[in-house]
Amino acid sequence: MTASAASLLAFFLVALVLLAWPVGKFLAALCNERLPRWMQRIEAPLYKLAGVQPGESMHWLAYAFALLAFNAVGAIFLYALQRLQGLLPLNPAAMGAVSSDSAFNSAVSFVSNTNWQGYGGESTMSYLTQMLGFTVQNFFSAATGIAVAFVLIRGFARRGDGKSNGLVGNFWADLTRITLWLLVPLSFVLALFFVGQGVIQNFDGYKTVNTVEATAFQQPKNGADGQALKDDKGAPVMEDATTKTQTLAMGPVASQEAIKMIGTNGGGFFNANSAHPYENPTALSNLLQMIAIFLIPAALCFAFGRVVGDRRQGWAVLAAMTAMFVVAVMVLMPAEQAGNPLLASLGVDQVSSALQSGGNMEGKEVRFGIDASALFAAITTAASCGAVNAMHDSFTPLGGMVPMVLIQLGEVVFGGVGSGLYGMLIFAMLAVFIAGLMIGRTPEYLGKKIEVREMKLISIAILVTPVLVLAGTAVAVMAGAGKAGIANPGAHGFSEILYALSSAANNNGSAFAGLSANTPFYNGLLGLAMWLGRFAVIVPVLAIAGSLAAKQRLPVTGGTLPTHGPLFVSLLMGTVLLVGLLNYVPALALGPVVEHLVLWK
Amino acid sequence: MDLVWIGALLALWAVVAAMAAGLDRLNAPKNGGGGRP
Repeated sequence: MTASAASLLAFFLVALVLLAWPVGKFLAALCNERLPRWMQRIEAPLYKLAGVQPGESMHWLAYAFALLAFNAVGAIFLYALQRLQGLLPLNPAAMGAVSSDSAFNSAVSFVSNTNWQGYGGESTMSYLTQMLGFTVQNFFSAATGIAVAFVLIRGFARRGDGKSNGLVGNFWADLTRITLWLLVPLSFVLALFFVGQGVIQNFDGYKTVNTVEATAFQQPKNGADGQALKDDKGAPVMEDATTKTQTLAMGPVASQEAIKMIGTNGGGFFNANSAHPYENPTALSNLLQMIAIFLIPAALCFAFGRVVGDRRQGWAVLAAMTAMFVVAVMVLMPAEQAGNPLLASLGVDQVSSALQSGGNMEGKEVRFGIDASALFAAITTAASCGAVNAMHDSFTPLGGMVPMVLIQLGEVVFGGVGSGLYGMLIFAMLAVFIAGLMIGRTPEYLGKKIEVREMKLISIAILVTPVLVLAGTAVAVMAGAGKAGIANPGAHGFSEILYALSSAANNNGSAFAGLSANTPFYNGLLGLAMWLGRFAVIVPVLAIAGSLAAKQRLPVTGGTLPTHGPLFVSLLMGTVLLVGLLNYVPALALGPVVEHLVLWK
Repeated sequence: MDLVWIGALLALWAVVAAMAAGLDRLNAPKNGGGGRP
């Protein structure tokens, strides 16, 4: 790892902690439902309008049904918006209706906080769909994740003295407060900053500009019927063409960009996502985007410690996340810096110098270079964001494996907003269970006994995503429609499918980009993985929270396993790596590991 | 085709709703803490 890369990582982590601390304090107040009176006055008319009693705490099942109903309505609304966009306003590029399978995929994708994009934003979606559909869901899906984390934290914090009887909070109040007082203000400030850096925010039509020089390219040749011609082998017939103009896509980008990062959503306004200069124009905007991705996941750790009454618990979870993240970055950056041995054998200079980033620059923006691209890739996959400023498909085999592994760990290394913390707390309970087995004591975490019911629910929550990823990958590599989407044959093609299923089921949303996934087969399969990967995990987590909230909180004794020290942090990391990663080792061996061995033989 | 894909959305919703109802009955403790209020 170069000195500049280490400096960038260190600066990023220090800035993150400094910014996350005050946000964590505010999140704790939100979780404890202790808001200033002026905020309550502003909220009151909204609750009155909706007929909601914000102080009325819900049983976990009622909370789950409210959450599921809200998200189902959101998905259907988003589906309808895409199908009807051709008839609706704010559509200067005259985009037609999105195909039904793509609309299904994108609706599930944005509701589940995945933001997998089978479509190209600037060539498919109207401004209204981007704003009223995707941006709104960016807020609501993020708020949903944070609300679930709040519920689990409350489950630990409740005394179980009979007053709460398993009640976990009010979903409608949580959703309103998180959106109104956390996500909207943060996004507003960040959007203004992005505009200052050069991110566009307008409703203009697309602009046609003259290029400096003519560009020669090949394009599919169309027949008299307007359809692409194909040769005897079924391959499209290409023809030479030149152009002296370029179309520049416009749109309200900054407002979508801010929540895309703050909410760990990741869905770009443009197809190139944060590699596009209108989404991420400068090194400073790139740094802020990276910090924004980790801000709420890190702040939630501090909030967790405050609400359960022991700040060391929050630090312990944050330490485990940070240690795993740093190790991942220390593998990823040198892998990309090492470059491609095949190019080295041709005499290509890949050494880092004052004149070039060096290393493997394929698929990376020159304005970010190796360090900022590799760090961004680690951050966006450690958190379940999925925004990209470089093409992961073009990373070296080891460099591409690191983002894939970070996703496959279950998005608990910081993870998505809310989902990262509740995922990590699930692993923490599993860790104390394993420790309990080793020392022969009933496991307990934060004074709550972890018993048969909780362990069954924990097992379900942990096993849902590996089943979706591995079974989905198996189906895709066996089905003709699945194999048809592969751009590169062999191990890399397998990695493309494995990455897609891992990204969908773990609600990351980034893509290896080599897979042609906008087909009815992949839109359906990945939609299924995204929905179940999100809500079939949330439901058992809510059930665990309800169960914990009803339990009495036991006092700390001499026999209690300390869960705030280095020993527990190590145990937690070991559990995440063993349980989270071992499921995928055989699949990884068939993909990136084989590719690495072939490349460096 | 719209009916097919909207039907798929509703079916996915029904799966997780049924899962929630099923988990509510999973090893519910006798004091009712994990079960219905």
